[in-house]
Amino acid sequence: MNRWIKFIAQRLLYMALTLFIIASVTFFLMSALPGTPYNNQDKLSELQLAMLNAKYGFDKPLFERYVSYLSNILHGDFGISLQFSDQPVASLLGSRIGPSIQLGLQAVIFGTIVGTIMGAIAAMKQNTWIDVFCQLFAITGRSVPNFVIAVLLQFIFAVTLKWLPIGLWDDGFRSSILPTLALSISPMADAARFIRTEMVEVLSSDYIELARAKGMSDIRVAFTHGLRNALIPLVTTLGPMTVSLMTGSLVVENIFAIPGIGEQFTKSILSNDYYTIMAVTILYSTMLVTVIFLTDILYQLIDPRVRVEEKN
Amino acid sequence: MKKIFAAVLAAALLLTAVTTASLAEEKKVLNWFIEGEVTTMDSSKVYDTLSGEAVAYFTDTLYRLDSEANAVPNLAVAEPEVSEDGTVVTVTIRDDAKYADGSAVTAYDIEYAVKRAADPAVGSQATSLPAIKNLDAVRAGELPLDDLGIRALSDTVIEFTLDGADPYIAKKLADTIVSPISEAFAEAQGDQYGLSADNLLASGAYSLKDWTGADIAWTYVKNPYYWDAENVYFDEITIQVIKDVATGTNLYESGKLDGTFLTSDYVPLYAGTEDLVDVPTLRMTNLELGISSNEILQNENIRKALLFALDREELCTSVLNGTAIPGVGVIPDGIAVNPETGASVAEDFGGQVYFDLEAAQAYFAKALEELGVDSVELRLVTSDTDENIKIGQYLQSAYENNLPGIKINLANVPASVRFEEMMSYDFDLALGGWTGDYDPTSYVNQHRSDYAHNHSQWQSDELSALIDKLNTEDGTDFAARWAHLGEANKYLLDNAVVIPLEQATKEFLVNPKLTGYVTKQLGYGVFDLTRASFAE
Repeated sequence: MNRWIKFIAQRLLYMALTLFIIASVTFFLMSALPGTPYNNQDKLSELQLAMLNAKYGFDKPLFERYVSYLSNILHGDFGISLQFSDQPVASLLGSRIGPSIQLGLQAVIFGTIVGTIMGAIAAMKQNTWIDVFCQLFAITGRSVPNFVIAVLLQFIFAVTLKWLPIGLWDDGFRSSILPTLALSISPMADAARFIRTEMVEVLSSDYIELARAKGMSDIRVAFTHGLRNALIPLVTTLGPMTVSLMTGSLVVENIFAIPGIGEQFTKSILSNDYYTIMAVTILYSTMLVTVIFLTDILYQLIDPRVRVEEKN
Repeated sequence: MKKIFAAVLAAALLLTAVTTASLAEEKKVLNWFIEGEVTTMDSSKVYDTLSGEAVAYFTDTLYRLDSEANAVPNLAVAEPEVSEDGTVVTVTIRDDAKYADGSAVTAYDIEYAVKRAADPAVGSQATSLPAIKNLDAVRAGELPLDDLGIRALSDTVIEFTLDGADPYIAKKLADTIVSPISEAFAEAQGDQYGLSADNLLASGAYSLKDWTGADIAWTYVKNPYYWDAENVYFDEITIQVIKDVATGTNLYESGKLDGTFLTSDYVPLYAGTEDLVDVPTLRMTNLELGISSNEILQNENIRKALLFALDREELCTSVLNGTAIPGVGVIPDGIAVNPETGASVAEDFGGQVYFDLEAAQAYFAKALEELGVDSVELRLVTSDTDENIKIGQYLQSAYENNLPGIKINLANVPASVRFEEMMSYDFDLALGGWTGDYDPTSYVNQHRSDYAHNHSQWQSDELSALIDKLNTEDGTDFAARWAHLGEANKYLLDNAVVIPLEQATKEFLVNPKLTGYVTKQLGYGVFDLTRASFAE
């Protein structure tokens, strides 16, 4: 038990330190961006610029802004958006993260399950046409950008067949099907690729031979012994992939007119929306370090080879 | 069992009630679009097209622009009364105007709204206020708000004191920034005013619903207290943010939307259909010259070669698919007309920008001789949007083909980087432009010696003197003003200080059944749908 407490405490400390460094580096990098955060900058007079800078505190020395910025964040105040005039950043992101998280999770779950099955089948039917098809799918899925797939899906299932809505977020779960499919292609391809490679290796190892020798059927061998071990490397890649999918995809969200958070990540940087840039960076990195932390714990549980050492 | 039976019965009853209710009165709904999220719904803070259009649904303006860009009385009962020197403008408003909560709209609310837009504590980025007396000093915090040149004389009379006469004052008073804001309501909301639909009180044809700050869909519902409610046809206008042109056209084709926008690659698909609506804009796209930072460009002949070596017709039709019209000069067509004859900008000031390959090549040869070189190399910086990249590539190939010996290096960068280069006056060529609002002066004023946006840093006392006249004595002498605008335009072209390229148009698909809407070239937003209806 003791080793667990120590392990978790240590990881939490690292997480806090990582976030602090990310927040600081982003702050100073962002301050070096050219231009002002005002969308209307090409029309503003010097006087109006000075007035706005004073209002938002951008006339203060950099270090002073840094200190007050950090202390605000510690108090849970992420500031106000300049892109959406004076809207609090926290409520702005809060109002749009829901659809992105939903789509991200659905895509990861669906993609991983289908990809895993495909990968497992491909490994079992190594070097047959099924294997070739699965590998071809994995390579295509990895290399075709998801917005191309999104447009294709929209054209086939919404415009031509009229089975699903073209876009908009007003039809409950049905609205989420096509975007989920578009987003799930890449986790699906990744899972298929990983599982196939791992399974091929696992299936030729000694303990599988032993299981076979004991008379287990091929399918049972593959799914009870093979798959479980092949899943381990997938867990590692799954975490970061989930985070990047949950934080939205600019293009897919635009294509399906979904009120997600994807655009905020890109647009805030292009428009120098300082507080939003900082908030999305912190949001993303917090999710990422948390997921990595959880993955590490998961590792401890499923893979006996990486258990925390008990030092005597 | 009994319980289940009761529940089924109740559900059945409810269903009947709902269907009968909807049969009794069919709601008139328009499903409209907007090209992006709005940055603000606070009429004091609007500074962009999308917000301007979104706010106009629920904010009543003193005047409305009609399709010919005339300002017609709206909340005001008549044309503004202007004093002899043009600096005092008095407007009388209707006495029957009401907010969506039934309370009365007064002239004091307009005074409050304008002061709010100028208040440094509110910090508005808006630049659309007319040149009201003491505006700059109030913004800078040097004078109190009460010194601003606006005063309500009674519940229905509002008086503006301007820095100088303004020939376009009625059009500027059609902007939502001079619309009434209920002081009692706004003060009660405090910091939260305008941050969501619940913190706004409509004075216009519709009320805002279901908007919380960064939504991509919201609704306008008819304001029953609106003074002109009988001419407001739709019970509800739903708005959907559409960013992807294909999604927009697919939704339009499927009947989910009654309008959507097009981009240049989609325009040919709808050419000749009754759905296609074409609206010219006031956006002038220009090739800007870094005259102060590049010695080659200080040669007048090379600048003239650049001016005449372009076939703007080809640029607009082949490259931009007809989503632009060739620039006629520094001032765009349609922004104003000759006050005496009604002639357009193109008619009065046109004919100075054209394609003349021979002349261009002669200027270029002369320039090379004067510079003592046999080739020149210039860097052209453009924003990295599709359209800017396309125009940049066209300019590169057109110049390199038409003027052998010139080499154009393209740099496609984020807009803010291009802007930074232009504002530091350190560049060769830049694809820039200018979008004015009501007054053609801003297009020539951009090149005034001491103006921050004079990117070329061209210095001319002659031009400055002309612009000074436009801003002072010409304020009441409209004929002289028009003549001076023409002179300033001619001066800039004669010296090739800037190379006008094209004037953008915008294309939309609109349900052919929709009538009574206004498309605007002036001010923010393109569509005014407040009095639109479906033809029966």
